[in-house]
Amino acid sequence: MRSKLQPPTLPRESVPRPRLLDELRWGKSSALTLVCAPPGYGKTTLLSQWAEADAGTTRFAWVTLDEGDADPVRFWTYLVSALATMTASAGRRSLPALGRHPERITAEFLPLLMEELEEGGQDLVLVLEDYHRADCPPVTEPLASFIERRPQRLQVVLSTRSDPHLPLGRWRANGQLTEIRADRLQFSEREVGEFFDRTGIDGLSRAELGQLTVRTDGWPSVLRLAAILLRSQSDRGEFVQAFAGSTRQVADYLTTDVLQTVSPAIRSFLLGTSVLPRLCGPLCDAVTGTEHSAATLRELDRANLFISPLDGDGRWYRYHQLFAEALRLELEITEPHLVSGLHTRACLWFEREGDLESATEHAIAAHDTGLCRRLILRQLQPLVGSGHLATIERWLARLSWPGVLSDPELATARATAAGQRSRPDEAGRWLDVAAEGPRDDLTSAGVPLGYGVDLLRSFFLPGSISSAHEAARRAVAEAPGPLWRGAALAGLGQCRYLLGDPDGAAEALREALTLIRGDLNMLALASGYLALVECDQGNPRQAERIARRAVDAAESAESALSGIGVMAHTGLGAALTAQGRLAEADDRLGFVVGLHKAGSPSIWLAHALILLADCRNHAGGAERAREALEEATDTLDQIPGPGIVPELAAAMRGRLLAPGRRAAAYGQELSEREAVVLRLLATGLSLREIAAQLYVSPNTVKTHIRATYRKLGAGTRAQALHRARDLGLLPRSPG
Amino acid sequence: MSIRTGDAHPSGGHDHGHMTGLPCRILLEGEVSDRFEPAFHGLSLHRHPGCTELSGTLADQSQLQRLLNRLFDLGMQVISVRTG
Repeated sequence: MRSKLQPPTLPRESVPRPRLLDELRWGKSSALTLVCAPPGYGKTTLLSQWAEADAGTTRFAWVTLDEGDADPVRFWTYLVSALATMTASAGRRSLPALGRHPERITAEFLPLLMEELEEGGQDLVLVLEDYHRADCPPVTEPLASFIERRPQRLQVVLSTRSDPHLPLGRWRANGQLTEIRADRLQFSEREVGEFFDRTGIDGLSRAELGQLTVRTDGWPSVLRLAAILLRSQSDRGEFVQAFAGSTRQVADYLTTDVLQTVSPAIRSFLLGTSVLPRLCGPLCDAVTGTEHSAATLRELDRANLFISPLDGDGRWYRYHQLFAEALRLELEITEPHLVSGLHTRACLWFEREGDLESATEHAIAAHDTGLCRRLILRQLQPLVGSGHLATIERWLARLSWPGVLSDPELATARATAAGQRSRPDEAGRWLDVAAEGPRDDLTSAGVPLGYGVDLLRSFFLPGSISSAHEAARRAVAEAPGPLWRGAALAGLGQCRYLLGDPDGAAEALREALTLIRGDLNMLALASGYLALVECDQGNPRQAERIARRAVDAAESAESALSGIGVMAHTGLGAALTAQGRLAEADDRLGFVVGLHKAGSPSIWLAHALILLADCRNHAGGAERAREALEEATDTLDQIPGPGIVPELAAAMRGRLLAPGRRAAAYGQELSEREAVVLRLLATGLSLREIAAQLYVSPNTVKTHIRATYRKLGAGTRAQALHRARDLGLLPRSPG
Repeated sequence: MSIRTGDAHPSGGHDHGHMTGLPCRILLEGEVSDRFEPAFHGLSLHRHPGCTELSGTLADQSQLQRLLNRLFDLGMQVISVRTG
């Protein structure tokens, strides 16, 4: 929305504050200029004044943040779009990189953005307004690095209600922080006088101004409140006395006294539209069921009541923050039954206007399960594909009213979000919820629910591979059209490959690739496994072509591959290893391992680690290969029914040279049995395999392992082996 | 898993704590009108000269966080918060 990227129009009655403007200008030499105060202290007004005063010499890039902007991809997209209005080159290469690698903002995106900002020489101020709405670690960590590396000509200004999670302490200590806080924003007695003059209330005595200043602490919003009330008083002196002597809350004045000064029609307009973060005529018409809202908004603006304009052409407005909160509270107290319906009408208006994200926010606020289902499922694929998984997750986390948790279709959305984050266990729990719904019910995508659940099982592999294989076969049989058959065949191909049926997998995957259209993650899944089959059959060049086509398709669409789509990178990594391009392969597979490690133990992670071990072994790094393989085995121990992957691990182990057989020195420390178990652990065998080798139960092995770990002071297999090598209990390098 | 009856949250960590709850006492500057009591998540409101006390049991820390944010957004000054 355009009004997000421009300074709000300056209120007519704003009091000039030249000293604060000078402080803001001096902030140019600091890393960060921070304007931090509670709502209603005039943070926005001050920054708008600055933008207007210095328009001739400095360019201002402006972003007003909203609740939904605590999503790193959204945040940086807005930030770059604002900079692009000033520096044409901003975003040309960095924005595509942001879409491709939303999880690598600091490594991939920021360096490109810095380069783009090097071009062009004019001084630039970047204002991030209401930053508290975006403040979360995934946004803040790269922002700190952006601020520290910014070009000299760029001044970064944050306005916020609470301290951001940035390294403020360090910057302050280094003289790198310019701060304007509530104590500086408070009006002095002189400014209070000027405020009332500009608001058209004159004739207050020095003493009365003094009383009002003390009573309000110079808090501008409270003075605005006093001004509204003063206008309707016959005896101003008496009012000032009463107001100054009172300990009543601001919110109390707003919801009772101030609302009494307006007509019942306006009161109901104000309460009804208080649920909207931004107001425009048609939207208010839709929400309140009235006409001429645009005229009402102009009227309120002219009377300096409650709202101020966001743009110059009088279309969009917003409430003064303190007033909006008070109105919402009044609505909840006096007419709680209306809240849901107001949000529903706002939702439908935004949906008609094509702003699905705003529509979703209102659907959630309305607690309307049906609307949430329709909107979220419609946006699921596009948002996942463009790297906005965080937005989906934020929405889903807020769906927690009774009944919505058991909604089968929303459960498939939750399973998809979990699966795309490589959390198969969580995806499985949500698919169990979805499976409680009637199998034949049609979802909003027009497919039977049972088919959808089976398809997702075959993608995300929550249980054993053989159960996923069963689900995949059902999905192929029940697919309601060629596109859906393509999707199901991709899942079937994955399951067949992981069950050790490469020919069957290739057959399914080749057909899948002729049917899949548009969904790049699905295309990447099928291509990744087909590339693995080609590798195994000795055709690494063909494998590389197949995998690269999928990766390139995603790159040119500026789309992020996540979850199942990561398989294209896995396949490409294996193809590179097979061609001896080991540094490239190590890079690619290391990237895949990093993505999957951020989730819970998965077959994808174990498999990628084995391929990484293979790559490192070829490169002569047996030690690092062994580490990757040990991690793979640890992962396999934690997943049910891992198909053929343990065999792949065993084969990999065979390719690594066997460790030496030095057995001394540790007799007094480890028992003979523990020493044997330790050596077997070093070969990368799983717990079950060790038990089989020693003809004992897995529980007995577990006991030996625990004792060994304890004696070595280790918590994991990797630590124990590392420690044992340090102590010379195991050979440091093979042979 | 029985979802229909319990409405459990399969992603875990989302316990609304009906059993335990979070005893809580918030002191606000100024005198808050009784009218606002319904907005305080079930806490009861007692006015003292110059300040107002909210006390009772909240579901959990995240509900307390939401309430504090709301008080802040309404321009109310929190003097102290005690839980447990």
